[in-house]
Amino acid sequence: MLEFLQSGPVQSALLLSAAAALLCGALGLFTVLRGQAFAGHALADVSSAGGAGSLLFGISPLLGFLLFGVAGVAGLEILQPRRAAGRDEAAGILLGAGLGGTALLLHFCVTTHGAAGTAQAVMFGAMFSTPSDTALWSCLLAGGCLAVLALIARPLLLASLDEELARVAGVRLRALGLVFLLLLALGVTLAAMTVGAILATALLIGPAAAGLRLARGPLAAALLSMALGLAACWGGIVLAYESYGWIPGRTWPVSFFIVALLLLFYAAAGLRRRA
Amino acid sequence: MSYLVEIWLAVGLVALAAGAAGYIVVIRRAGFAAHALPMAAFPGAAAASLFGFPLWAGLAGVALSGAGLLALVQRTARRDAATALLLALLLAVGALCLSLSGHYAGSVYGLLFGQVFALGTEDLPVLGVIGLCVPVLLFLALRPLSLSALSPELMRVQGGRPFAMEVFFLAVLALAAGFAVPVTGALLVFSLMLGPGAAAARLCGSPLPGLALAMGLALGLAWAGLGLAFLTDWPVGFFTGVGAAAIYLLVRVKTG
Amino acid sequence: MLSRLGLGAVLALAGQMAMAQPVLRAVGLESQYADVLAQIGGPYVKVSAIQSNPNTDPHEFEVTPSVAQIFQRADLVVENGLGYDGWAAEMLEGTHAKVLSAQKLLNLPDDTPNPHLWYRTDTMPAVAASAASFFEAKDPAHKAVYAANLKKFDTSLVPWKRALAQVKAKYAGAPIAVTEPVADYMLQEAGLKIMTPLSFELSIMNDTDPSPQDVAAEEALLRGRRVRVFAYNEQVTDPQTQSLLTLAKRHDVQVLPVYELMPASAAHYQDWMMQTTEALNQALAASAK
Repeated sequence: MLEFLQSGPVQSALLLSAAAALLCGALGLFTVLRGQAFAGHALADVSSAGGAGSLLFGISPLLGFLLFGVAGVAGLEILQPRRAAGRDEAAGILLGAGLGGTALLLHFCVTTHGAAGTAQAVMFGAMFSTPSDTALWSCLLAGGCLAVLALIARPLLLASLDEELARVAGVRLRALGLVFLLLLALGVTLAAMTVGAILATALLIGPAAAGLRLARGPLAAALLSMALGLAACWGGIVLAYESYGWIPGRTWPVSFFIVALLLLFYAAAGLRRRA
Repeated sequence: MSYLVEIWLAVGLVALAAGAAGYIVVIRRAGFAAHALPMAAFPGAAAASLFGFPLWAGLAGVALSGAGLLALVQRTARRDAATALLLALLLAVGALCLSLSGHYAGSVYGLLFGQVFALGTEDLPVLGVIGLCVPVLLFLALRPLSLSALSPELMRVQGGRPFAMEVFFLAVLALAAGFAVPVTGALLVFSLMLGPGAAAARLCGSPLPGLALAMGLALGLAWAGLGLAFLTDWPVGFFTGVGAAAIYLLVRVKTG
Repeated sequence: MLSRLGLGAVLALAGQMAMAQPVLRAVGLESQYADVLAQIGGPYVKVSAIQSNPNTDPHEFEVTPSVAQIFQRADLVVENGLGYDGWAAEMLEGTHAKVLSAQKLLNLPDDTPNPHLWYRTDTMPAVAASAASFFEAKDPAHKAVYAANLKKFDTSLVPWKRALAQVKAKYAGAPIAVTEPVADYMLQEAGLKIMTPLSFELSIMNDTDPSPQDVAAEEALLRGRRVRVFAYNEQVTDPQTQSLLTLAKRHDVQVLPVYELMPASAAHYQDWMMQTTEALNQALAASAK
């Protein structure tokens, strides 16, 4: 156990995945309540196009990811109809347009830079070796997002549960929705950069869906969701560490363990609620 | 010359299937599922390469089990949450199979994302079956499919089974996408689905003209994208993706 | 007077070039294969390279119509094989082009884990010989040119092989670290000992998660300066390999840049290999101090 904790890659993974899990766990509660799971996934995919963009325009990858995330939110705001029913198709069309744009950017990268190097979107995690300055930035940004989310949590919850009531209470629904989407874009971008795009989606939805099945109040659901996300991440890292040598010369990816644990929690929560 | 004809034909067939499926996807509000289920091609191909069974078996097996799983979980849970978890599961299992196989895996990624201009004559039968069967199947099941989407209660009263329709629809979607994606890529299939489908659903009140319009729009979009790609030498996915968004916005503005 | 002579020479050369109309078209999927084809074919073969970086994230990269058109017209296409350029296989099936696969020329089984064949000394001679005999059969009029070019090409590889043998004689058994198996064939031919766990190399190459133990082992190699050189893939980078590069630089481990495609600094394949071997030699010498 001591050996496990002393390993540098493990420490970095524990820290980064904790930041991603806590932020995604809190954001995920509202995402699931508002039915914006697809929007969250689409934003993660669109922002990872920032990798190609940053290379083409010569800006830092972090800035590229964030700019594309914000552009994705703007696109969603334009495409998204007011009624909640059409959100699903709007997110899908944004995703198609975003991936098409990425294809074009990469086409330019490859033809204009020739063989000078291309940035890859990180599909699976790089959580075991992220440079310490990125780790610091990610934790600071995650903390900032959580603070803003805590500030708007009350009206946002009301708006997510009952739009009419919120409107009567004087909540500015459109502005609030936009702030939430921006936070969502920031959160999934951060998660996609540190733990990979797949885990960003899984951490956003899995813990929140399980938390909502178990907890009674919204605060309890949020805390439970963050705790479950953290437990899945850290459990997955332990399993990835333990699995070394199960099959000599082959590694078991940590993404697989984390997703499997999240699904297990989700299924267990369903059984418990029924019992 | 014959080569170019093949590409136009193949893309047209994919567009017909994608347009028809896209219309149903939009009226059943299954856009996320339409994005997630084609990803089954990734674990399908990776598992086939790891265990050494034929590619078609891997693709079909994973696509069908994904559709079944999604239909089951959707009964008791929030739909978009269930879909997001299925998507993560599919990709994570794909990553596991890749890691355990220890081969160079560029070919598996290539299989998932496909290349429109890389298709050959031997792909045409597969695409032909998809391009003809999907619209015909969906046309035959159009009434129960739209009824179960609009009002499952009414359908149940009439003695229909909405759950069976859901399984049927997801299975058609998963199989068609699972076999079309390795040929043309996920991006093309997906961008041809939602834009035309959503536009047609807004313009047409009843299912049959809606289905026809969606197929027509998808065909036009696909061929226009292909033509522009030939003219500019830019990737075709860019034109179809952005074109779908443009069609959708235009219709939104017109219908208010 | 001198300039007029020069002009005359240029004109004469231009006239000769204009007379030498290309009769065949050949394609190298990766720029290094295209370069070898051009050296063998000379003025009689029009060679194209497919300018796609094969390790670009395929999630977002698409082949454009011009590539399909190039394949349509090609007489000969050289591919690497081993799934490295698997995207082309289907595209080539409908064409009349003859396909040469470096993998098949070397009789490698399909489950060979390392596809970066151009770093082997025996790959390009085999490709060049097959290409030359194809050109000779298709265009017998210029048979002598192709044969002479092949001979010239084989001779031009001798300095590289000699340099590699010198590295081996001097540094055999020296420990080195890598990120991906890009240059592993060459490093092994130079008798060097690759300390990076193979499972780590495969994870990086296939874009899946590496195991924490492998990352720790790799970092320890650099941090403890247990390796003399760190071979770094300059073309395909991600946050993970970049942090390893930072680590190597911080601990003064010599860095050897390696490539998936011909870098701009090299005019020809043999220059590239020579540059890499010299860089390897210098890095090993510098690390000995």
